[in-house]
Amino acid sequence: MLAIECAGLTKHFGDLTAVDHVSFEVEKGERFGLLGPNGAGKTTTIRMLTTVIPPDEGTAKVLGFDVRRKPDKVREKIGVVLQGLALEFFSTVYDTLDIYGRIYKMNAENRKKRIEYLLSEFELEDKRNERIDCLSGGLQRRVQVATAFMQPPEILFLDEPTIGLDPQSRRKIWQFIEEFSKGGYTVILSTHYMDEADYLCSRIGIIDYGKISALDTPEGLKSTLGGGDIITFGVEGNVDLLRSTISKLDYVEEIMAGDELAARVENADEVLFKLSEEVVKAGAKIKNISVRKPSLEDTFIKLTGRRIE
Amino acid sequence: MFKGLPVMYYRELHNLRRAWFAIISATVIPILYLFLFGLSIGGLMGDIEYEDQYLSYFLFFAPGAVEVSIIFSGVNSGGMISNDRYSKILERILSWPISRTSYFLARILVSMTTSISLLLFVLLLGIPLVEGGLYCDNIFLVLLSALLGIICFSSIFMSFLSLIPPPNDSIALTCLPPVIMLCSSMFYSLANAPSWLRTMAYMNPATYMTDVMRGA
Ligand SMILES: Nc1ncnc2c1ncn2[C@@H]1O[C@H](COP(=O)(O)OP(=O)(O)O)[C@@H](O)[C@H]1O
Ligand SMILES: [Mg+2]
Repeated sequence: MLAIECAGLTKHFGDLTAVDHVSFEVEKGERFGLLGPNGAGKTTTIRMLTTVIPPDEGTAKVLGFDVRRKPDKVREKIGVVLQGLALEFFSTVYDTLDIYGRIYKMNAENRKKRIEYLLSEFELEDKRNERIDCLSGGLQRRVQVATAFMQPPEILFLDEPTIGLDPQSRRKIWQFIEEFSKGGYTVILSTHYMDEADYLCSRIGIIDYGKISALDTPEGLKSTLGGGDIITFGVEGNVDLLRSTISKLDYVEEIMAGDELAARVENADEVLFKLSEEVVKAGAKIKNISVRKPSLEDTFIKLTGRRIE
Repeated sequence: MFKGLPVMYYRELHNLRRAWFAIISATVIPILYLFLFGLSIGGLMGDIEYEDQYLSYFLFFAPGAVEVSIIFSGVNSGGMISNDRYSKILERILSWPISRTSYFLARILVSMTTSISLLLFVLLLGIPLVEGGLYCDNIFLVLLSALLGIICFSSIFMSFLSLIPPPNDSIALTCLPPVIMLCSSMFYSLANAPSWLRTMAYMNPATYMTDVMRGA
């Protein structure tokens, strides 16, 4: 059975089309990522799927229930971690989790057990009786993520779960999401971090200006570039001119989009020296050279023509 | 339609524990109004003719003071919405498995719970204090009118807060109560009021609630 099924999903805000005929399907148990820069339409897509706002056009089904016609059914089965902090600031950590247990009708004993488990998993035990507004940003975020796990939801939506977090909290949250999805649960997350999408997602939809431009596994997305190595030159000189010069070389497969002078070649070991000579011959001064494998970011730049930040 | 009402009610009460000042102010302020206005203006004005009876201003104003408390509880209901909005929890609540009705209803129920217990408290305490002067023949009528008042003002303030986007919402919240209180029969008899004020007062639910209580 499909966890998410959306077809032609569209949302307008005035003249702006924030989400533009987005269609995708997610199988149960998948970890699906929406990867895109700020303003791409990730949050709006998630808000429609979690029944917060209705779509203007198109349909979306969550676990077979239409978000517009059966929002109640959808809400019972999902957990949501919003992009921004959304906690009751004057409540304690323990009480915050307790309320979530009550919302999902857990009995007192289960609530207590679950809260203890989450407090230890998220390393919040010694903060249990602190008020939310007295915690650091990273800890507040951990509490927010923990609330979504109170009643294990069949589908967990996370909107940029680790935005602006310290590396330790970030690792913690990644581990927990991974662990959670091993239980057969579905995870839908949005992010603008390449490494997060690469690490966490089994499939990624690249979204920009409200449209999904590619949808594949992380490996699949990277291989659309055709493999090989990418050589990047830090140079002084006219980069545009250099680009057109080296693009004519037969061993250069492709010039990478972006500000830097970067070229993809079959095998960097064989051509690095030759290529550097050509760059120097074209009148540039090389300050540094780096060689790497194509990354998700390269695919992203190729598809959208821009860097993500 | 009332899905999740118990948990939302629990949540409101739970949050109110920390907002104890709201409860105290809802008790103290009306009593303050009653004594300061009742005794000071009462001394200036002497007795007031009301439905062929002469009442001291203090007694005349007593139902108005109850109404003050009710309007304040309405303001608190509205204020809670703006709290939920500022803390972004409102967006989160929209994907909780509860109905939208429960969200508003829980708030009204909590206002009722607190106001009615306060009202009873004040009546019990007030009756002996004022030498048997503050009496009512029909306490159920008083309670009923108080309940209606809470429903009415909680709804008014909550719709206001839902319709007016921040930052004007909190300003509206502070400006609205004096208007409601002054353009009604809470503080003075409308018998001698200019006609435009009377017209305004008759559009104001507070007038009716006060009159029902005064009648009782
Ligand atoms: N409530 C709203 N009113 C008007 N415009 C909005 C609203 N929410 C989002 N937008 C606009 O829609 C676009 C997509 O926003 P969003 O979905 O938040 O992007 P992302 O989460 O990918 O950063 C942005 O240009 C944003 O300014
Ligand atoms: Mg967003």
